[in-house]
Amino acid sequence: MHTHKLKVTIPSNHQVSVTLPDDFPAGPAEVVFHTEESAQLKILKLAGVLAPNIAPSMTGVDPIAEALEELRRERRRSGDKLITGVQDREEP
Amino acid sequence: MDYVTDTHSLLWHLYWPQRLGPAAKQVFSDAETGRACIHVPAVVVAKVLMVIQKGRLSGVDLNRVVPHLESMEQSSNYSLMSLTPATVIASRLFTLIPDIFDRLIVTEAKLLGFALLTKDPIIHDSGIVPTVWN
Repeated sequence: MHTHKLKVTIPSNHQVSVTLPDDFPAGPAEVVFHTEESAQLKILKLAGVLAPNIAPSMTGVDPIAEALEELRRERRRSGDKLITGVQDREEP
Repeated sequence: MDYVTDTHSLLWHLYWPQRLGPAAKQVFSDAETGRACIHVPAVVVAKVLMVIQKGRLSGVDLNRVVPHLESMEQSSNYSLMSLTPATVIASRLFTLIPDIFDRLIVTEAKLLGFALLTKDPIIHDSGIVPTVWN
């Protein structure tokens, strides 16, 4: 018997598509879905839960966008070219 | 309806939702009334923590944000997504997105077939996934 375990996210339309490894044998198989939690899930309200005491400007500087761009620059500087297709040098 | 969020959208929703684009704001509003589900990639969680650690949001530290991130696990309208090797491997196809973190977020949305809540013009212009902001 062959077993392949993977995690999926069940969307609201309850349709799931999975791709099995090429070496997984074709033919009849059994599919079982286990949810991670049996506890009742609640609707979470998160709008403005981190709101500051003073309202930020609605225009002009976007501190979040600036911080994210700074993080991108740091990644570029640290040479993070993983799977970008860029090749710095030829292998000896 | 299901959506994937990027870091910028999620943080503005948590911090000052008025700064969201109208369409993105509506999606988050729908989620908070149970009419939509927001999927949050693991990479987005990592970037949220990094932005907070940089101290860019006045009055917000990790002690304030972490409980809210953890509470998503027990909710029906937010879903924390694991980063899997399959997603990383699939991301190789999306070289139009130069930043690896952004590329992984786009890949998550692409694989799930959901629109991405983002203002990012590079992601929008790539056409890889539908985007929601204005």
